[in-house]
Amino acid sequence: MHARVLQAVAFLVAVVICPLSVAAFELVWEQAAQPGFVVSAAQFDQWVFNANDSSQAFSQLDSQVKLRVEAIDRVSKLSEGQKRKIQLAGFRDVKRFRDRYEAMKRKYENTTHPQNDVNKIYQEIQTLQTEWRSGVLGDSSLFAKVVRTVLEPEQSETSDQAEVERKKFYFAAKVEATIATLENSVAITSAQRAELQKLLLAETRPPKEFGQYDHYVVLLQAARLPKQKLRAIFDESQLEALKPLFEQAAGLEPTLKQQGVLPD
Amino acid sequence: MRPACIFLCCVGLLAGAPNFCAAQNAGPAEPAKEDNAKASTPNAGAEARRRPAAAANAKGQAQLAPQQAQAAPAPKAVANPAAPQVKIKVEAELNAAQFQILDQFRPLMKTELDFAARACGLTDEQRKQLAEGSEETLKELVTGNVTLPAGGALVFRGGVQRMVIREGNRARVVTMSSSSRQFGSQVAALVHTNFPGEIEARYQKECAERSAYQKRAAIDNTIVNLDKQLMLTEEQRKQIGEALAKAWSDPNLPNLQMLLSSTEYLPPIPDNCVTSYLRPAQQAVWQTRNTTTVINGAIGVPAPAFEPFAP
Repeated sequence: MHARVLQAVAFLVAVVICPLSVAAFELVWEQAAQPGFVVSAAQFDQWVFNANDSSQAFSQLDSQVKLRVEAIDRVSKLSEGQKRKIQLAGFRDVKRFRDRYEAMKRKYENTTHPQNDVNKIYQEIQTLQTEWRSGVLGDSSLFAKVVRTVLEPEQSETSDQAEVERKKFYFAAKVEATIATLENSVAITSAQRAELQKLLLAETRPPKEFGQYDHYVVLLQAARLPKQKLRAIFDESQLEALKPLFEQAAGLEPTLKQQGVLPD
Repeated sequence: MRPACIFLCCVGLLAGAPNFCAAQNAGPAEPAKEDNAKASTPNAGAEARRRPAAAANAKGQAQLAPQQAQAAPAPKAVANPAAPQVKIKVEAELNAAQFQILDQFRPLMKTELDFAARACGLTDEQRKQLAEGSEETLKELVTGNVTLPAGGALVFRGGVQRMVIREGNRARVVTMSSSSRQFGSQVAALVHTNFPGEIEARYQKECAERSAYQKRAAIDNTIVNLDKQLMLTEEQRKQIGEALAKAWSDPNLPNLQMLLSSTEYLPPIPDNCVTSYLRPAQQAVWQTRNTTTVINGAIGVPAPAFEPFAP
């Protein structure tokens, strides 16, 4: 009798209670096995601006608008009307960027996501990061378009000339940096260094937008130069030492294309 | 998964039931044994389920870690300069850590030797002489009195790994960077020992020209980053460049990799190299700049390379 009661109880436990507890345990188990990823406000700003707070970044953007207008005014002598239009265009670009930033931040801030979605979210946020780094007031901005429209031809010429000088300086600096970086791994004499610099300045072109990939843009173009031009400077052992560096740059080509920095 | 758990529960219970019944028939002498048997099997099943959960959790954490590192790169450890130092004694044989360091150093030393050979115009025989000396130098470097921070880890600062080497009463910081130039002083000593005179003079001339170029690259790329924030004129770029060339010397140059990896990075720049050349609007921006830039967790400070060799 007792045995039968006990068996009945065991059966009830096995068939009714155990599944419920197992189900509850599985739910806890699944939640424990896949911890969520929380995008905090600081994390979001870190991804976009490489800083924990966006206030400095936006303050910098506002300063950029004023300094850019001042730089153009200095060489092109703008009228008050022209200054106002260009400044307004710049502030509109900043506002547009800020709106995109705030919309994306609202979407992701303090939300929990499955671990597998982290990369997808990061890539979406990276579009903001790219725009921030390459310049909110870059060539494709409203600011740049209004400058081109509002300036008289002579004004455009002087403004463009100043910009050309700036880009020339940037490019020369990046070529120097590329050669200096090569020298970490390849022994180069001063005569070879001078020849290489001359070759790179003549035969490679600056990136479309200057940023963190500049020396890779130069290195990739160097890797694509005709072999005889490089052989005129380096011996076989040096060319062999350059190979892994060239291969590294070639491996980055898809990223450089995606970032839109490779010259046409 | 659920049917399997139900099955296990049932098996556990059913396995326990006959023992329990037997216990009932046997009398009070044996209940402890059955209780243990009954107690162990359901727990064993639960434990078996908990272990995969813990493993999955650990795996999730492991997956989370690199992505967190990618997304929010953890700051690299910065050694507390006041931390007690542990001296590692000279060992007759290289230990595993020393072998690892030796392996890291060898290709870089080879590049620096190649530079010396080209700069000096050495013959094959002379190259061999230099190479033999360098192997001894490397071994001494890793087996000498090496002072490491208490945790045994190498010093990290500014994203650059460093090791402190004691040579008698002198302490030298060797930057374990990817640059072969970190062995400049060792190779200079070898050249001085083996080929003094005209050959050494040629080598020193090449070293000076290389250093000047590295300095130029660091200054120009600093000005690029400065220009992005301040919109400098051509004249201002030139003036600030000249001021920085006077202020900065070789061991204290900004880290070129940091300058390249972020256009927002600005190394510590003396105010007097910049302020007097700026217009009021630019000065306002300069005053509010970030004085400490964090790049991938590393503080944006210049990374000294090595002390120059003094024969």
